[in-house]
Amino acid sequence: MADPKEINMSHTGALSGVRVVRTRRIVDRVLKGLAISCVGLSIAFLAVIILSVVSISLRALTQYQLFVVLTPTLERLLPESASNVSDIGNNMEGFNTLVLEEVHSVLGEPLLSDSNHIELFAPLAVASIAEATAESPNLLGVSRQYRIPISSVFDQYLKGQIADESFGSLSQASMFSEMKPSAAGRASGDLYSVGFREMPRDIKTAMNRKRADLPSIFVETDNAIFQVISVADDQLILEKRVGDIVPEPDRIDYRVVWTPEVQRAILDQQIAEVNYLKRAGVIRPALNLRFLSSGDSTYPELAGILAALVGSFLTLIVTALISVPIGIMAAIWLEEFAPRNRLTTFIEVNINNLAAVPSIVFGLLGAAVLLNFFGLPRSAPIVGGLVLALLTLPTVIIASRAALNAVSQDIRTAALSLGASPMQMVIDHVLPVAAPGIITGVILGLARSLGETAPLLLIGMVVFIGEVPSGVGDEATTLPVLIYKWSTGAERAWEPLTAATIVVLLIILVLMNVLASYLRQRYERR
Amino acid sequence: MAAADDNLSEWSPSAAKDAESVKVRCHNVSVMYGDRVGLKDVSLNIPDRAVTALIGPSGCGKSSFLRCLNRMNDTIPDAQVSGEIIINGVNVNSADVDPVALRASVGMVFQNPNPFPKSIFDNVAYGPRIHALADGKEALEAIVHRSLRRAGLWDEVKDRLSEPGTSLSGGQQQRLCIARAIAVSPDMILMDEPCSSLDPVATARIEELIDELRARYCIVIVTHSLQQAARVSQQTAFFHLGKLVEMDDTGRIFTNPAEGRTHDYITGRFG
Repeated sequence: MADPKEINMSHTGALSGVRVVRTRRIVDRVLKGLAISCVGLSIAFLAVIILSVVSISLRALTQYQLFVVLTPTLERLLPESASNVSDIGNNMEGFNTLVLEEVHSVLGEPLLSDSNHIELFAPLAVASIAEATAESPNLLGVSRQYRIPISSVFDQYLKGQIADESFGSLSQASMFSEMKPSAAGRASGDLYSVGFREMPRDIKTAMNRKRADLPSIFVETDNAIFQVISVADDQLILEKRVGDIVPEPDRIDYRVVWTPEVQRAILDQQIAEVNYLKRAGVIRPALNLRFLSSGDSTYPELAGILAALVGSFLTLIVTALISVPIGIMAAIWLEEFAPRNRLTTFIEVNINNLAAVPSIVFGLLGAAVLLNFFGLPRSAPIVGGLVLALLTLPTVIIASRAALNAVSQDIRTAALSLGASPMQMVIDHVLPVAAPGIITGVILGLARSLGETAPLLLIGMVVFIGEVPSGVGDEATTLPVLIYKWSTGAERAWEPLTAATIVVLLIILVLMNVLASYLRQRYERR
Repeated sequence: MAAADDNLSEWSPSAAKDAESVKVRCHNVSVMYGDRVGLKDVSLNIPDRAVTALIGPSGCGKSSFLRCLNRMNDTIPDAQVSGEIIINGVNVNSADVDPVALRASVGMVFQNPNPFPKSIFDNVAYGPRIHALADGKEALEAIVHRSLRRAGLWDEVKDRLSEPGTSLSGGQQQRLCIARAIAVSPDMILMDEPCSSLDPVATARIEELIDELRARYCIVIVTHSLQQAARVSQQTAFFHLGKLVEMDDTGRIFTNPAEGRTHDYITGRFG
């Protein structure tokens, strides 16, 4: 211990060399640990965000739909006044009636159509069927199975989003016995009772709750659904909600809806009927293909992202067509040809500043100049693309300049010494070498513009777009604006749709980045 | 473009034959980099069909002088060249000479091998292509093959002309650069320390090549290696502090220099 100290003292004077080394090791280790934990923390945050978004979006993957066999006929659907077959396409009421008749034939009494409450399906849900029938009249008179998305409230209920529920089986229950209506003191429906050996704990807990948040308890068989209205010693007193009684059902289930009726968007009667339709196979889960194939709607179950997707694509095309050539050419001039003087320094500084300008300012500029002064159409991809091009331009210029700057000076002098003109030098030698960097910068800039929301809000792209836009002059919206719009929706059903749109946008952005790195590698290998 | 063509024809070797064997006459050539003097009042003659070596310590102005001969100093911001440099009867430093056309007749090889990141063939073919020297594909191939043969690279690369030039070894890359330079049929070849990044074997190969090329071209080589200057050159010019100290036959410079400073430098007293 003493020896090294002596040796070190002789070499380094006041500070011991051993101590220096030890301190350095500790500092190194601490810094390394900090760096690793920072990376770990950011990965953890990212994972939490992505997992939560993806898990919410999975709820939008499927939706509950009515599977009904309809027979549209000319007599039923064509009003006497109209003579053209294509008028069928406008007769939503006629199709609605056809569907409702089908549903009521299963349910028995038409209780759901009570106009004070939410309808089983949106009136517009039959629009696609009506249009299809009007377009191909050979569907008339044919019995076919049609699918209609049920109202988002019922859909959300069936996905467990509206009410807390527990289920179980009354395995040792005895048969139903009909009681006299007066026995339970309520005369609203048919009363029955069911006996059991042991009361399930859920039901016991539910019955002990305070009156204000009393859960609803249902007893279900394949043919009928009852609601428990009181409990006697060894039997439940039931009121029939829907269906027909069968003397000896195969199994008897119970359902406790813990959320009290006043606190949820769906009534006891509606719960009974939806569950009955589900048991009957009329309501079934199916893939929500409409999400990818239709435009926006006021009804969550009918809303899709196609219009916004096309709007985003059109806007991106305009942005790319403007910002890429201008940006690359500006970068070439600044980097290769411009003299170094006050003017070019001023331009350089301002391009760098432009990259730091909040994007909403560009939106204001677009609204003031493009809409008010030049009178371009509101909400159009052409205007959105122009505004986003301004936003992307500095990014493209800066990335392209960096890529050009990184090209070895040797290549330039080699080309010049062979008698190439400066322009030949740039086009033949510098640009091909800088291409991967430029392409990466361009794609990252465009990806950023694809995710931009604020400037588009100001030029009126936050509008309801049900129809897919067909050109850059049509009214349109984009994916991030749609996300913003849907995220402000009051109904719970918008939440999974918003998450699913975010996932679609993320997938597109990831694909763009993959494309950027693929192009980069491909060009660098050459 | 017409003016450039005229210049080209004036510089062609056939036109130069009538004159005596002086290729370049320089009179009071100075180079300023902003306020800094790079080269001061250099006057010398460079012989044709011979190798002229420029030696001197770092920063002595020998590279600056070399770059005057094909006006590569133009590519450096704030470099100012003055004086007369007459090649084939034309002052290349005058404003009406197109440096792009000049460089087509004065080839240059650099310190670091700098092939283009393209195929071996395209490296050599680039010059002939931009100057439209070849009429058709066969003629272009002929130029490329001849240039590679003259640069002594043909046997090593004839089976892989489509491979990237950067895949060759350092010495091969430098010979590729020489092939690229002679593909445009220049009068002169300028070499700026062409062997400083090469190993001794590759250096020997390049020196052999320079000796062979001497029969056809006027070669000016900047080198830090006095042995190399002694081996390859016929004329040697010694630069010091931006000035030409002396220029003479290589043999005399290395055995019996007129100036004391030259003697001190070649015997290793400074530099």
